[in-house]
Amino acid sequence: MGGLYGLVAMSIVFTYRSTYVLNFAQGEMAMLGTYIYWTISQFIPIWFAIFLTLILSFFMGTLLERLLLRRLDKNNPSSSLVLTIGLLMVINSTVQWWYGPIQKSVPSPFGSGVIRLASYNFSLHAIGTILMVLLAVAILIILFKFTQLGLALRATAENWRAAQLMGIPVDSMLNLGWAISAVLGTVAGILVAPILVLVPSMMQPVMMYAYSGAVIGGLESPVGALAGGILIGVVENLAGTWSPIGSDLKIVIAFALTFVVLSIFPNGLFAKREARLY
Amino acid sequence: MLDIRNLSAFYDDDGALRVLHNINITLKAGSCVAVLGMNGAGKSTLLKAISGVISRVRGTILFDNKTVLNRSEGTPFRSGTQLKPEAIVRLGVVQVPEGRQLFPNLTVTENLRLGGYVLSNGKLVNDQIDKLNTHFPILKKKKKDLAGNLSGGEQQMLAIARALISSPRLIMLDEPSMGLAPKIVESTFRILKDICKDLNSTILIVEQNIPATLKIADYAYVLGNGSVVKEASASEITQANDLQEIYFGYETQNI
Repeated sequence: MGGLYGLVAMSIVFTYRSTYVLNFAQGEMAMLGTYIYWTISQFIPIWFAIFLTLILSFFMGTLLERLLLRRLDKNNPSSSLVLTIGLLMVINSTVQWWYGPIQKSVPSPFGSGVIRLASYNFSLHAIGTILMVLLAVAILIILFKFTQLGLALRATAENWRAAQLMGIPVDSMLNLGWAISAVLGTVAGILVAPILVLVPSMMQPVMMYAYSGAVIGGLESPVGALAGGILIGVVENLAGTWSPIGSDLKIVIAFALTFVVLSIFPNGLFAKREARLY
Repeated sequence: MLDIRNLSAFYDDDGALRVLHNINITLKAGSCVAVLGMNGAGKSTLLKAISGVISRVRGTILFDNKTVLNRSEGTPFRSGTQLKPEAIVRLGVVQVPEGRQLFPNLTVTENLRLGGYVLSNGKLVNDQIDKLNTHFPILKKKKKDLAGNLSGGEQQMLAIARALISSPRLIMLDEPSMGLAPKIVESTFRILKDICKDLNSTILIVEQNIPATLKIADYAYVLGNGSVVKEASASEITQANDLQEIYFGYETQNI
Protein backbone atom coordinates (compact mmCIF):
# COMPACT_ATOMS: atom_id res chain seq x y z
CA MET A 1 0.00 0.00 0.00
CA GLY A 2 2.84 2.30 0.83
CA GLY A 3 4.03 2.04 -2.70
CA LEU A 4 0.67 3.19 -3.96
CA TYR A 5 0.54 6.11 -1.62
CA GLY A 6 3.94 6.95 -2.97
CA LEU A 7 2.76 6.77 -6.55
CA VAL A 8 -0.11 9.13 -5.99
CA ALA A 9 2.14 11.40 -3.96
CA MET A 10 4.51 11.44 -6.90
CA SER A 11 1.83 12.51 -9.30
CA ILE A 12 0.90 15.35 -6.98
CA VAL A 13 4.48 16.44 -6.76
CA PHE A 14 4.87 16.13 -10.51
CA THR A 15 1.99 18.49 -11.09
CA TYR A 16 3.38 20.82 -8.51
CA ARG A 17 6.83 20.82 -10.05
CA SER A 18 5.52 21.29 -13.58
CA THR A 19 2.93 23.89 -12.91
CA TYR A 20 3.30 25.10 -9.35
CA VAL A 21 -0.31 24.16 -8.80
CA LEU A 22 -1.10 21.83 -5.95
CA ASN A 23 -3.80 19.65 -7.43
CA PHE A 24 -6.43 18.74 -4.88
CA ALA A 25 -8.43 16.91 -7.48
CA GLN A 26 -5.63 14.45 -8.17
CA GLY A 27 -7.45 11.60 -6.46
CA GLU A 28 -10.68 12.23 -8.27
CA MET A 29 -8.91 12.39 -11.60
CA ALA A 30 -7.34 9.04 -10.79
CA MET A 31 -10.70 7.67 -9.82
CA LEU A 32 -12.25 8.90 -13.05
CA GLY A 33 -9.48 7.27 -15.01
CA THR A 34 -10.07 4.02 -13.19
CA TYR A 35 -13.77 4.08 -13.96
CA ILE A 36 -13.00 4.59 -17.60
CA TYR A 37 -10.65 1.64 -17.39
CA TRP A 38 -13.38 -0.47 -15.85
CA THR A 39 -15.78 0.45 -18.62
CA ILE A 40 -13.30 -0.26 -21.36
CA SER A 41 -12.14 -3.51 -19.83
CA GLN A 42 -15.59 -4.97 -20.22
CA PHE A 43 -14.97 -5.07 -23.92
CA ILE A 44 -11.32 -5.69 -24.50
CA PRO A 45 -8.53 -7.64 -22.84
CA ILE A 46 -7.00 -6.17 -19.74
CA TRP A 47 -3.64 -4.96 -20.97
CA PHE A 48 -5.12 -3.32 -24.05
CA ALA A 49 -7.60 -1.64 -21.77
CA ILE A 50 -4.82 -0.32 -19.60
CA PHE A 51 -2.95 1.04 -22.57
CA LEU A 52 -6.02 2.71 -24.00
CA THR A 53 -7.04 4.15 -20.67
CA LEU A 54 -3.65 5.69 -20.18
CA ILE A 55 -3.86 7.36 -23.54
CA LEU A 56 -7.31 8.63 -22.73
CA SER A 57 -6.23 9.95 -19.37
CA PHE A 58 -3.42 11.80 -21.11
CA PHE A 59 -6.07 13.61 -23.07
CA MET A 60 -8.18 14.11 -19.99
CA GLY A 61 -5.31 15.98 -18.46
CA THR A 62 -4.83 18.03 -21.59
CA LEU A 63 -8.48 18.90 -21.76
CA LEU A 64 -8.67 19.93 -18.15
CA GLU A 65 -5.71 22.20 -18.60
CA ARG A 66 -6.98 23.77 -21.76
CA LEU A 67 -10.47 24.38 -20.51
CA LEU A 68 -9.95 25.24 -16.92
CA LEU A 69 -6.46 25.95 -15.77
CA ARG A 70 -5.50 28.16 -18.60
CA ARG A 71 -8.02 30.73 -17.49
CA LEU A 72 -6.48 31.06 -14.09
CA ASP A 73 -4.66 34.19 -13.22
CA LYS A 74 -1.07 33.08 -13.20
CA ASN A 75 -0.20 35.63 -10.62
CA ASN A 76 -2.53 34.38 -7.94
CA PRO A 77 -1.80 30.95 -6.50
CA SER A 78 -4.97 30.82 -4.42
CA SER A 79 -7.20 30.63 -7.43
CA SER A 80 -5.73 27.30 -8.44
CA LEU A 81 -6.50 25.98 -4.97
CA VAL A 82 -10.15 26.88 -5.27
CA LEU A 83 -10.31 25.55 -8.80
CA THR A 84 -8.87 22.14 -8.00
CA ILE A 85 -11.14 21.69 -5.00
CA GLY A 86 -14.09 22.57 -7.16
CA LEU A 87 -12.86 20.14 -9.76
CA LEU A 88 -12.69 17.45 -7.10
CA MET A 89 -16.34 17.92 -6.26
CA VAL A 90 -17.47 18.09 -9.85
CA ILE A 91 -15.69 14.92 -10.90
CA ASN A 92 -16.87 13.02 -7.86
CA SER A 93 -20.50 13.96 -8.34
CA THR A 94 -20.46 13.35 -12.05
CA VAL A 95 -19.01 9.88 -11.65
CA GLN A 96 -21.54 9.04 -8.97
CA TRP A 97 -24.33 10.20 -11.19
CA TRP A 98 -23.10 8.36 -14.24
CA TYR A 99 -21.97 5.07 -12.75
CA GLY A 100 -24.08 4.85 -9.64
CA PRO A 101 -22.71 4.45 -6.14
CA ILE A 102 -22.67 0.63 -6.09
CA GLN A 103 -19.19 -0.73 -5.94
CA LYS A 104 -17.69 -2.50 -8.91
CA SER A 105 -15.04 -5.10 -8.64
CA VAL A 106 -11.87 -4.68 -10.60
CA PRO A 107 -9.59 -7.63 -11.01
CA SER A 108 -5.88 -7.09 -10.74
CA PRO A 109 -4.11 -6.81 -14.08
CA PHE A 110 -1.54 -9.19 -12.70
CA GLY A 111 -3.94 -11.97 -11.92
CA SER A 112 -4.79 -13.28 -8.50
CA GLY A 113 -1.86 -15.63 -8.04
CA VAL A 114 0.37 -15.79 -5.04
CA ILE A 115 4.07 -16.47 -4.68
CA ARG A 116 5.51 -18.07 -1.62
CA LEU A 117 8.89 -16.84 -0.50
CA ALA A 118 10.46 -17.76 2.77
CA SER A 119 7.18 -18.53 4.50
CA TYR A 120 5.57 -15.24 3.43
CA ASN A 121 2.86 -15.01 0.83
CA PHE A 122 3.33 -12.32 -1.75
CA SER A 123 0.46 -11.63 -4.04
CA LEU A 124 1.32 -11.12 -7.67
CA HIS A 125 -0.59 -7.93 -7.49
CA ALA A 126 1.65 -6.53 -4.80
CA ILE A 127 4.76 -7.44 -6.71
CA GLY A 128 3.36 -6.08 -9.92
CA THR A 129 2.46 -2.85 -8.13
CA ILE A 130 5.93 -2.39 -6.77
CA LEU A 131 7.41 -2.96 -10.19
CA MET A 132 5.06 -0.45 -11.76
CA VAL A 133 5.89 2.13 -9.16
CA LEU A 134 9.61 1.65 -9.68
CA LEU A 135 9.11 1.94 -13.41
CA ALA A 136 7.19 5.17 -12.99
CA VAL A 137 9.89 6.63 -10.76
CA ALA A 138 12.59 5.73 -13.23
CA ILE A 139 10.74 7.31 -16.12
CA LEU A 140 10.06 10.48 -14.18
CA ILE A 141 13.62 10.89 -13.04
CA ILE A 142 14.95 10.37 -16.54
CA LEU A 143 12.45 12.83 -17.94
CA PHE A 144 13.14 15.56 -15.48
CA LYS A 145 16.85 15.36 -15.13
CA PHE A 146 18.13 14.23 -18.46
CA THR A 147 15.89 15.55 -21.18
CA GLN A 148 15.56 19.00 -22.64
CA LEU A 149 11.82 18.70 -22.29
CA GLY A 150 12.07 17.93 -18.60
CA LEU A 151 14.31 20.94 -18.17
CA ALA A 152 11.80 23.09 -19.98
CA LEU A 153 9.00 21.83 -17.72
CA ARG A 154 10.98 22.67 -14.61
CA ALA A 155 11.92 26.08 -15.96
CA THR A 156 8.31 26.91 -16.76
CA ALA A 157 7.19 26.03 -13.26
CA GLU A 158 9.93 28.08 -11.69
CA ASN A 159 9.75 31.29 -13.68
CA TRP A 160 7.32 31.27 -16.53
CA ARG A 161 8.15 34.76 -17.67
CA ALA A 162 11.79 33.92 -18.13
CA ALA A 163 10.86 30.62 -19.76
CA GLN A 164 8.74 32.53 -22.22
CA LEU A 165 11.73 34.70 -23.09
CA MET A 166 13.75 31.59 -23.81
CA GLY A 167 11.32 30.63 -26.50
CA ILE A 168 9.60 27.94 -24.43
CA PRO A 169 5.91 27.62 -25.31
CA VAL A 170 4.65 28.05 -21.77
CA ASP A 171 1.07 27.03 -22.43
CA SER A 172 2.12 23.78 -24.01
CA MET A 173 4.39 22.99 -21.10
CA LEU A 174 1.64 23.41 -18.52
CA ASN A 175 -0.59 21.32 -20.73
CA LEU A 176 1.94 18.52 -20.86
CA GLY A 177 2.47 18.66 -17.13
CA TRP A 178 -1.20 18.10 -16.47
CA ALA A 179 -1.49 15.34 -19.02
CA ILE A 180 1.37 13.35 -17.53
CA SER A 181 0.01 13.92 -14.09
CA ALA A 182 -3.39 12.56 -15.13
CA VAL A 183 -1.73 9.44 -16.47
CA LEU A 184 0.21 8.88 -13.27
CA GLY A 185 -2.94 9.27 -11.22
CA THR A 186 -4.83 6.80 -13.38
CA VAL A 187 -2.09 4.23 -13.09
CA ALA A 188 -2.33 4.52 -9.35
CA GLY A 189 -6.09 4.23 -9.53
CA ILE A 190 -5.96 1.08 -11.62
CA LEU A 191 -3.56 -0.45 -9.14
CA VAL A 192 -5.60 0.60 -6.12
CA ALA A 193 -8.95 -0.62 -7.40
CA PRO A 194 -8.35 -4.35 -6.92
CA ILE A 195 -7.49 -3.73 -3.27
CA LEU A 196 -10.14 -1.22 -2.30
CA VAL A 197 -13.23 -1.67 -4.39
CA LEU A 198 -14.08 0.72 -7.17
CA VAL A 199 -16.44 3.31 -5.79
CA PRO A 200 -16.56 7.04 -6.34
CA SER A 201 -15.00 7.59 -2.95
CA MET A 202 -12.29 5.05 -3.62
CA MET A 203 -9.38 7.42 -3.66
CA GLN A 204 -10.38 9.51 -0.70
CA PRO A 205 -8.69 7.51 2.05
CA VAL A 206 -5.65 7.15 -0.17
CA MET A 207 -5.40 10.87 -0.74
CA MET A 208 -4.94 11.66 2.93
CA TYR A 209 -1.88 9.51 3.01
CA ALA A 210 -0.73 10.66 -0.39
CA TYR A 211 -0.72 14.33 0.47
CA SER A 212 1.01 13.61 3.76
CA GLY A 213 3.56 11.56 1.89
CA ALA A 214 4.12 14.30 -0.64
CA VAL A 215 4.61 16.90 2.05
CA ILE A 216 6.91 14.74 4.14
CA GLY A 217 9.03 14.07 1.12
CA GLY A 218 9.24 17.74 0.36
CA LEU A 219 7.03 18.93 -2.45
CA GLU A 220 9.94 19.42 -4.79
CA SER A 221 11.06 15.88 -5.26
CA PRO A 222 9.16 12.97 -6.84
CA VAL A 223 11.53 10.52 -5.23
CA GLY A 224 10.94 12.17 -1.91
CA ALA A 225 7.23 11.87 -2.39
CA LEU A 226 7.60 8.21 -3.16
CA ALA A 227 9.68 7.67 -0.07
CA GLY A 228 7.25 9.69 2.00
CA GLY A 229 4.33 7.67 0.75
CA ILE A 230 6.03 4.39 1.44
CA LEU A 231 7.06 5.54 4.85
CA ILE A 232 3.54 6.44 5.76
CA GLY A 233 2.19 3.19 4.41
CA VAL A 234 4.65 1.17 6.42
CA VAL A 235 4.10 3.13 9.60
CA GLU A 236 0.38 2.91 9.15
CA ASN A 237 0.40 -0.85 8.93
CA LEU A 238 2.84 -1.32 11.74
CA ALA A 239 0.82 0.97 13.95
CA GLY A 240 -2.34 -0.89 13.14
CA THR A 241 -0.86 -4.24 13.98
CA TRP A 242 1.37 -3.58 16.92
CA SER A 243 0.12 -0.62 18.84
CA PRO A 244 -2.91 -0.52 21.09
CA ILE A 245 -4.42 2.16 18.88
CA GLY A 246 -6.00 -0.31 16.56
CA SER A 247 -6.87 0.00 12.91
CA ASP A 248 -9.44 2.72 13.23
CA LEU A 249 -7.04 5.34 14.38
CA LYS A 250 -4.33 4.46 11.90
CA ILE A 251 -4.84 7.64 10.09
CA VAL A 252 -3.94 9.64 13.16
CA ILE A 253 -0.54 8.03 13.05
CA ALA A 254 -0.05 9.32 9.53
CA PHE A 255 -0.78 12.86 10.57
CA ALA A 256 1.31 12.55 13.71
CA LEU A 257 4.21 11.40 11.62
CA THR A 258 3.75 14.29 9.22
CA PHE A 259 3.72 16.71 12.10
CA VAL A 260 6.88 15.27 13.62
CA VAL A 261 8.79 15.20 10.38
CA LEU A 262 7.84 18.72 9.43
CA SER A 263 8.83 20.02 12.84
CA ILE A 264 12.33 18.76 12.30
CA PHE A 265 12.62 19.26 8.57
CA PRO A 266 10.38 22.17 7.60
CA ASN A 267 10.99 21.64 3.94
CA GLY A 268 10.46 17.92 4.00
CA LEU A 269 12.99 15.12 4.17
CA PHE A 270 14.24 15.38 0.62
CA ALA A 271 13.93 19.07 -0.06
CA LYS A 272 16.62 20.56 -2.22
CA ARG A 273 18.41 23.65 -1.06
CA GLU A 274 16.25 26.62 -1.85
CA ALA A 275 17.97 29.41 -3.68
CA ARG A 276 16.59 32.89 -3.91
CA LEU A 277 17.31 35.54 -6.54
CA TYR A 278 17.41 38.46 -4.16
CA MET B 1 17.00 45.47 -39.12
CA LEU B 2 14.49 46.49 -36.49
CA ASP B 3 11.81 48.90 -37.57
CA ILE B 4 9.38 50.26 -35.02
CA ARG B 5 6.70 52.63 -36.24
CA ASN B 6 3.95 54.30 -34.31
CA LEU B 7 4.19 51.95 -31.40
CA SER B 8 1.76 52.62 -28.60
CA ALA B 9 1.25 50.57 -25.47
CA PHE B 10 -1.49 50.66 -22.87
CA TYR B 11 -2.07 49.40 -19.35
CA ASP B 12 -5.76 48.76 -19.76
CA ASP B 13 -8.11 47.34 -22.31
CA ASP B 14 -9.92 50.59 -22.99
CA GLY B 15 -6.78 52.37 -24.02
CA ALA B 16 -7.12 55.08 -21.43
CA LEU B 17 -3.81 54.51 -19.65
CA ARG B 18 -1.15 54.98 -22.29
CA VAL B 19 2.43 54.01 -21.60
CA LEU B 20 4.06 54.54 -24.98
CA HIS B 21 3.00 57.18 -27.47
CA ASN B 22 3.71 56.61 -31.15
CA ILE B 23 7.31 55.53 -30.79
CA ASN B 24 9.52 55.39 -33.86
CA ILE B 25 12.83 53.61 -33.60
CA THR B 26 15.13 52.14 -36.22
CA LEU B 27 18.03 49.81 -35.62
CA LYS B 28 20.70 49.03 -38.17
CA ALA B 29 22.30 45.61 -38.16
CA GLY B 30 25.51 45.42 -36.20
CA SER B 31 24.92 48.62 -34.29
CA CYS B 32 24.70 49.20 -30.58
CA VAL B 33 21.77 51.41 -29.65
CA ALA B 34 20.80 52.80 -26.28
CA VAL B 35 17.37 53.79 -25.09
CA LEU B 36 17.76 56.12 -22.14
CA GLY B 37 15.26 57.54 -19.78
CA MET B 38 14.20 57.88 -16.20
CA ASN B 39 12.06 55.49 -14.22
CA GLY B 40 8.60 55.14 -15.61
CA ALA B 41 9.49 56.47 -19.02
CA GLY B 42 8.27 53.26 -20.61
CA LYS B 43 11.61 51.66 -21.43
CA SER B 44 10.79 48.17 -20.12
CA THR B 45 7.41 48.32 -21.81
CA LEU B 46 9.17 48.98 -25.08
CA LEU B 47 11.22 45.81 -24.77
CA LYS B 48 8.22 43.81 -23.67
CA ALA B 49 6.39 44.98 -26.76
CA ILE B 50 9.24 43.90 -29.01
CA SER B 51 9.45 40.49 -27.33
CA GLY B 52 5.73 40.02 -27.70
CA VAL B 53 4.94 39.41 -24.05
CA ILE B 54 2.39 42.18 -23.70
CA SER B 55 -0.68 42.24 -25.84
CA ARG B 56 -2.06 45.74 -25.34
CA VAL B 57 0.03 47.28 -28.06
CA ARG B 58 -0.66 48.91 -31.39
CA GLY B 59 1.58 49.95 -34.23
CA THR B 60 4.06 48.18 -36.45
CA ILE B 61 7.20 46.29 -35.60
CA LEU B 62 9.26 44.74 -38.38
CA PHE B 63 12.30 42.59 -37.81
CA ASP B 64 14.35 41.80 -40.91
CA ASN B 65 11.25 42.84 -42.82
CA LYS B 66 9.18 40.18 -41.09
CA THR B 67 6.08 41.38 -39.30
CA VAL B 68 6.31 41.03 -35.54
CA LEU B 69 3.43 43.34 -34.79
CA ASN B 70 0.88 44.99 -37.00
CA ARG B 71 -2.18 46.43 -35.41
CA SER B 72 -3.69 49.72 -36.47
CA GLU B 73 -4.79 52.63 -34.36
CA GLY B 74 -8.21 52.17 -32.86
CA THR B 75 -8.54 48.45 -33.50
CA PRO B 76 -9.17 46.00 -30.66
CA PHE B 77 -6.21 44.24 -29.08
CA ARG B 78 -7.16 40.87 -30.44
CA SER B 79 -7.12 41.99 -34.05
CA GLY B 80 -4.18 42.46 -36.36
CA THR B 81 -1.02 40.40 -36.19
CA GLN B 82 1.19 39.81 -33.21
CA LEU B 83 3.70 37.02 -33.09
CA LYS B 84 3.86 34.79 -30.01
CA PRO B 85 6.91 35.24 -27.78
CA GLU B 86 8.34 31.86 -28.73
CA ALA B 87 8.15 32.74 -32.41
CA ILE B 88 9.95 36.03 -31.81
CA VAL B 89 12.76 34.25 -30.00
CA ARG B 90 13.08 31.88 -32.93
CA LEU B 91 13.50 34.86 -35.22
CA GLY B 92 16.63 35.66 -33.26
CA VAL B 93 15.43 38.34 -30.86
CA VAL B 94 16.32 37.62 -27.24
CA GLN B 95 15.96 39.72 -24.13
CA VAL B 96 17.87 39.91 -20.90
CA PRO B 97 15.00 41.14 -18.75
CA GLU B 98 15.00 43.58 -15.90
CA GLY B 99 16.38 41.91 -12.80
CA ARG B 100 18.01 39.14 -14.78
CA GLN B 101 15.13 36.65 -14.31
CA LEU B 102 17.29 33.60 -13.98
CA PHE B 103 16.01 30.22 -12.81
CA PRO B 104 17.32 30.31 -9.26
CA ASN B 105 16.88 26.65 -8.36
CA LEU B 106 18.50 25.37 -11.52
CA THR B 107 22.24 25.11 -11.96
CA VAL B 108 24.34 27.49 -14.02
CA THR B 109 24.68 24.88 -16.72
CA GLU B 110 20.95 24.24 -16.79
CA ASN B 111 20.27 27.95 -17.10
CA LEU B 112 22.65 28.12 -20.03
CA ARG B 113 21.06 25.09 -21.66
CA LEU B 114 17.70 26.79 -21.46
CA GLY B 115 19.15 29.71 -23.37
CA GLY B 116 19.75 27.25 -26.16
CA TYR B 117 16.20 25.91 -26.09
CA VAL B 118 15.43 27.10 -29.59
CA LEU B 119 18.51 25.46 -31.05
CA SER B 120 17.63 22.08 -32.41
CA ASN B 121 21.04 20.53 -31.98
CA GLY B 122 22.27 19.47 -28.56
CA LYS B 123 25.87 19.46 -29.64
CA LEU B 124 25.56 23.01 -30.90
CA VAL B 125 24.34 24.09 -27.48
CA ASN B 126 27.35 22.49 -25.84
CA ASP B 127 29.71 24.19 -28.26
CA GLN B 128 28.13 27.55 -27.58
CA ILE B 129 28.40 27.01 -23.83
CA ASP B 130 32.08 26.27 -24.22
CA LYS B 131 32.61 29.35 -26.34
CA LEU B 132 30.92 31.56 -23.81
CA ASN B 133 32.80 30.00 -20.94
CA THR B 134 35.98 31.45 -22.38
CA HIS B 135 34.51 34.92 -22.14
CA PHE B 136 33.05 34.29 -18.70
CA PRO B 137 35.45 31.98 -16.88
CA ILE B 138 33.60 32.35 -13.58
CA LEU B 139 30.61 30.59 -15.09
CA LYS B 140 32.69 27.59 -16.00
CA LYS B 141 34.06 27.42 -12.48
CA LYS B 142 30.60 27.55 -10.92
CA LYS B 143 28.79 25.48 -13.47
CA LYS B 144 27.15 23.17 -10.95
CA ASP B 145 26.09 25.92 -8.56
CA LEU B 146 22.48 26.96 -8.26
CA ALA B 147 21.92 30.19 -10.09
CA GLY B 148 20.30 31.79 -7.08
CA ASN B 149 23.49 31.45 -5.07
CA LEU B 150 25.68 33.52 -7.38
CA SER B 151 26.65 37.10 -6.63
CA GLY B 152 24.94 39.98 -8.42
CA GLY B 153 27.70 40.44 -10.96
CA GLU B 154 27.91 36.71 -11.66
CA GLN B 155 24.17 36.54 -12.13
CA GLN B 156 24.35 39.33 -14.65
CA MET B 157 27.05 37.52 -16.57
CA LEU B 158 24.99 34.36 -16.49
CA ALA B 159 21.94 36.20 -17.75
CA ILE B 160 23.89 37.70 -20.63
CA ALA B 161 25.63 34.44 -21.48
CA ARG B 162 22.32 32.65 -21.42
CA ALA B 163 20.91 35.12 -23.92
CA LEU B 164 23.90 34.76 -26.19
CA ILE B 165 23.84 30.96 -26.42
CA SER B 166 21.45 31.00 -29.33
CA SER B 167 23.66 33.46 -31.26
CA PRO B 168 20.81 35.92 -31.49
CA ARG B 169 20.55 38.49 -34.25
CA LEU B 170 19.36 41.05 -31.74
CA ILE B 171 20.00 41.04 -28.02
CA MET B 172 18.05 43.47 -25.88
CA LEU B 173 19.03 44.27 -22.31
CA ASP B 174 16.76 45.89 -19.78
CA GLU B 175 18.74 47.90 -17.24
CA PRO B 176 21.71 45.54 -17.05
CA SER B 177 23.60 47.80 -14.69
CA MET B 178 20.92 47.74 -12.01
CA GLY B 179 22.26 46.71 -8.64
CA LEU B 180 25.82 46.28 -9.82
CA ALA B 181 28.99 48.01 -8.71
CA PRO B 182 30.38 50.53 -11.24
CA LYS B 183 33.54 48.54 -11.94
CA ILE B 184 31.54 45.44 -12.73
CA VAL B 185 29.22 47.45 -14.93
CA GLU B 186 32.11 48.72 -17.02
CA SER B 187 33.70 45.33 -17.52
CA THR B 188 30.37 43.65 -18.25
CA PHE B 189 29.49 46.23 -20.88
CA ARG B 190 32.88 45.88 -22.52
CA ILE B 191 32.60 42.09 -22.66
CA LEU B 192 29.10 42.46 -24.06
CA LYS B 193 30.25 44.67 -26.88
CA ASP B 194 33.14 42.34 -27.75
CA ILE B 195 30.95 39.27 -27.84
CA CYS B 196 28.38 40.97 -30.00
CA LYS B 197 31.04 41.90 -32.49
CA ASP B 198 32.18 38.27 -32.58
CA LEU B 199 28.69 36.92 -33.00
CA ASN B 200 27.64 39.64 -35.40
CA SER B 201 24.77 40.55 -33.12
CA THR B 202 23.02 43.86 -32.71
CA ILE B 203 22.55 45.29 -29.23
CA LEU B 204 19.72 47.33 -27.82
CA ILE B 205 20.31 48.53 -24.27
CA VAL B 206 17.68 50.16 -22.16
CA GLU B 207 19.29 52.00 -19.29
CA GLN B 208 19.21 54.69 -16.69
CA ASN B 209 22.99 54.72 -16.36
CA ILE B 210 23.97 57.17 -19.09
CA PRO B 211 27.78 57.41 -18.97
CA ALA B 212 28.52 53.68 -18.99
CA THR B 213 26.03 53.06 -21.74
CA LEU B 214 27.17 55.90 -23.98
CA LYS B 215 30.69 54.48 -23.84
CA ILE B 216 29.67 51.50 -25.91
CA ALA B 217 26.66 52.78 -27.82
CA ASP B 218 26.69 54.15 -31.35
CA TYR B 219 23.32 55.82 -31.24
CA ALA B 220 20.84 56.73 -28.55
CA TYR B 221 17.18 57.51 -28.12
CA VAL B 222 15.95 59.34 -25.07
CA LEU B 223 12.54 58.36 -23.79
CA GLY B 224 10.51 60.72 -21.67
CA ASN B 225 6.98 59.97 -20.51
CA GLY B 226 6.48 57.42 -23.19
CA SER B 227 7.68 59.42 -26.17
CA VAL B 228 10.99 59.79 -27.92
CA VAL B 229 12.19 63.21 -26.92
CA LYS B 230 15.63 63.11 -28.48
CA GLU B 231 17.64 60.89 -30.75
CA ALA B 232 21.22 61.35 -31.85
CA SER B 233 24.55 59.63 -32.16
CA ALA B 234 26.24 58.75 -28.90
CA SER B 235 28.91 61.39 -29.26
CA GLU B 236 26.36 64.14 -29.87
CA ILE B 237 24.38 63.11 -26.84
CA THR B 238 27.44 63.11 -24.64
CA GLN B 239 28.01 66.71 -25.50
CA ALA B 240 24.40 67.80 -25.46
CA ASN B 241 23.45 70.42 -22.91
CA ASP B 242 19.75 69.91 -22.96
CA LEU B 243 19.98 66.26 -21.92
CA GLN B 244 20.05 67.25 -18.30
CA GLU B 245 17.03 69.42 -18.81
CA ILE B 246 15.08 66.58 -20.34
CA TYR B 247 16.12 64.20 -17.63
CA PHE B 248 15.75 66.36 -14.61
CA GLY B 249 13.23 68.83 -15.92
CA TYR B 250 15.37 71.87 -15.33
CA GLU B 251 18.77 73.16 -16.25
CA THR B 252 21.68 72.11 -14.14
CA GLN B 253 25.30 73.03 -14.18
CA ASN B 254 27.57 71.36 -16.68
CA ILE B 255 29.33 68.42 -15.14
